Amino acid sequence: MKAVWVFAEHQLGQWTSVTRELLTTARSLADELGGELIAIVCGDEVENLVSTLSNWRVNRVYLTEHKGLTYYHPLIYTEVITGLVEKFGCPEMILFGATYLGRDLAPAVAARLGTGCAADCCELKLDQDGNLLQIVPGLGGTIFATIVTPHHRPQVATVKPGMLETGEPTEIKAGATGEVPLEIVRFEAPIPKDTPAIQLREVRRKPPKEAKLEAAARVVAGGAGLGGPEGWALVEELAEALGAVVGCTRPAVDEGWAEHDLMIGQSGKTIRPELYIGIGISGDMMHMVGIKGKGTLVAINQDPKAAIFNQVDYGIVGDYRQIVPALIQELKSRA
Amino acid sequence: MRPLRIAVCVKPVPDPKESNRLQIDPATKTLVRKGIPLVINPLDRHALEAGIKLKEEAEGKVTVFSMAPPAAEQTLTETLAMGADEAVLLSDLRFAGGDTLATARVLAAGLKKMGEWDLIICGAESFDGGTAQVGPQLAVLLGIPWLTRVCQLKREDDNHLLVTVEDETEQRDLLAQLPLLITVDSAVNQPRRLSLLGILAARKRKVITFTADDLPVDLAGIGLNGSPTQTRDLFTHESTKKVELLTGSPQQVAIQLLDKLGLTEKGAGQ
Repeated sequence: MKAVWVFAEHQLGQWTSVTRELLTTARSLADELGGELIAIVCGDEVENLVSTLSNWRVNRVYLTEHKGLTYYHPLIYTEVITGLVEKFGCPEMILFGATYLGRDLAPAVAARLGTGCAADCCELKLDQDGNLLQIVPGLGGTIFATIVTPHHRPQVATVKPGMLETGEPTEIKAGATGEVPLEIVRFEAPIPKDTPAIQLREVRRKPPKEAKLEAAARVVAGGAGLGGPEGWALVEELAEALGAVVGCTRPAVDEGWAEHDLMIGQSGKTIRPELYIGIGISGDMMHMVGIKGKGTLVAINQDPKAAIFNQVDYGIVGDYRQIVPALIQELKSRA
Repeated sequence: MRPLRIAVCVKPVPDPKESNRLQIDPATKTLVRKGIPLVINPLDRHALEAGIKLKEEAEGKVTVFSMAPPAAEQTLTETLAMGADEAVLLSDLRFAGGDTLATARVLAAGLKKMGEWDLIICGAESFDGGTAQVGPQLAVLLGIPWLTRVCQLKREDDNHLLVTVEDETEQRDLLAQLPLLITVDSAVNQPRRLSLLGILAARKRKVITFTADDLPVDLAGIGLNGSPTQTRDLFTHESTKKVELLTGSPQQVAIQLLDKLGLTEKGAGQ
């Protein structure tokens, strides 16, 4: 039977958001193929988490529990997944979230299996022959590309968090019709004795990140067209007046005006705001791909030919140095 | 400490500062790069800097590898000017169009051809492709461990590096045994600037060039035809939005916009 495997990643005792998104999409792909959805779970003492996978109608879990899997060791994790393929047969596809771990592990697994890996997909679907269509923003972010792996299996892909249009949660409540009994298959990791050691010296937990941008109802974003840190200060001022969260494009990070954490797009955050105002942003696909949902989009840009004007509801062609202060003043007068 | 044999992999990319000049040929659906100068991929400069720093601490040798068209030779000369001891250009029409695995196969063959390595350093990802896949794939093909997105790096002893990596929730200090492949983030160091003298001196040095015929590589696994992934089609995002342009003085457009958005008071937009 055709199988769709999802690497179910957990952090701090919870499934990552992209794992939930992947499971939802992978269930539809498996249904379309008339196949099974299988979750791969690695870690130490994670069995209680595993039982929740029935929420996504997972047919089977390949569970590998081992002390050596508490922390991510690239070689050991690669051994586990290629070991699973060897033991249980080659699936149609193995899907990973494009997290730190997924972007490290997926290409390695693909290289070991001599197959293809598509990075940072924003959409997955099947063609009529059952090949996985892996949609990625490509060529400098000006265009989307459909990547296929026609002659090799498994098809390996990483999928960017927040990108899959999963719609309403399809999690099935316990006992509801359509529930699939979850089969848990334990797998002994074939970890070679001579695996080079990567010893953990120290771990520092990062302060829990607030998903501020991802959850923001209003976002004011700035880009290269700001021209300098004074422009960035205006972006922050407008955001403050609007009760909005600030975001940015890559140039604003590269120039040092904004923190990397604020970047929206393919290599940054995915947002779903009710209102987005882009200032000095050209409308490059790399950025626009990170703006999802049905919100109202506004662009302020000096260049009337900027691509962003084809992708927004309201556009203002002009110098943001005059327009943004006017907006702030008008907002204050209305408060 | 013992000297290290260090390989640094670099990719010439279209100058990020001119990336707005990149265009798609509507007929062939390929990228038109004509006239855009090639530069070393920004993160690869950090990789090279990391290699040179380790060499300065304890002797050793830094060799730069790149799979690229012949035009990249000049870019590789720059790496010599920065302080690399030698530069190897892997260039052959048969390499063209390769995906990350096909590219990693060519790099692995080039590395094997030139000897054995204690440490291989790559930039975490390229500015143009951005997949971050070549590093881990190269390590797999060479049969050595790897660590990606290293943001701090220190030589611990003869056979170990102490590196810091960071995922979504944690920063981890890891003691990793050599041989090892690492990919580095921009936080790892500040790449040195090129001196004019360095550039002039480097111009006199030769970049080593290999074709497929010189390398222990299976032709069936390289280039466009040897790549497991293929690009089926390219398409632009068709926005369903129809823009309404607001015109007038700054104050007039401000009023119009806020009216259109129905913004009469400070929102609870957090």
